[in-house]
Amino acid sequence: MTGPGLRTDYKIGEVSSLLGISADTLRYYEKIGLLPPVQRSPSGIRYYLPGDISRLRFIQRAKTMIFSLDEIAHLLKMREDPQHARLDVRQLTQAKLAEIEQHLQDLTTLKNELTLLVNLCHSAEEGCPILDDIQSGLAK
Amino acid sequence: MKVQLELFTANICSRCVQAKNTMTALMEELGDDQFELIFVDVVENIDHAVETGVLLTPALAVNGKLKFSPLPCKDRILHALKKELGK
Repeated sequence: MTGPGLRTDYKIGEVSSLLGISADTLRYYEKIGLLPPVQRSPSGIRYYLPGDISRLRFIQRAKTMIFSLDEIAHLLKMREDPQHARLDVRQLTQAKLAEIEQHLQDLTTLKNELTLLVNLCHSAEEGCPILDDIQSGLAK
Repeated sequence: MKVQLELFTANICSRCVQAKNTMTALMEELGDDQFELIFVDVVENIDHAVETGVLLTPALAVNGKLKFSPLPCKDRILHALKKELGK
């Protein structure tokens, strides 16, 4: 650690709390190569550097998009060295980008739908169409 | 070809009754040979409402494009509709 308030390394428990990833999962990511070997103290304690944290955050984001660990490994290669990434890695990145764009469109539509329903609720004197909509959806 | 007007409303929206009355009065004023007015309930047709861009009610779309949301005063709507006829 250096300087007050500026962390440059984190122990595994701290990373686990910070990112919500279990210590077992962190060790597993290292074992399968999603994370390069983490810096260790002479007594073997792992110290995660800012680059490791950034990489783990990327993995988390990719997992929320339901990308497989294998796909994430390829995307990380692209992230490390986009200029020299293999053609198949570039193609996968392009395909994943298209998936994210579709997902964003779906999210925008959902956001607009919920905004409309919430605005209707605000203008309603009685009842709430959000509940009506959910109930009619459940009845289908 | 008639200009298609869609008024997006909801039963529970307090300002929507007034909007329906305003649009009905405007149609009587302008004549229904140039305009076709359709009332769209946003709760029943939420997909269509969202696709059109409606986030507030009442809202008015002209030929499928959102024009007003929420609805302005009658004179402003009249001005916009006359302008639409001039296109």
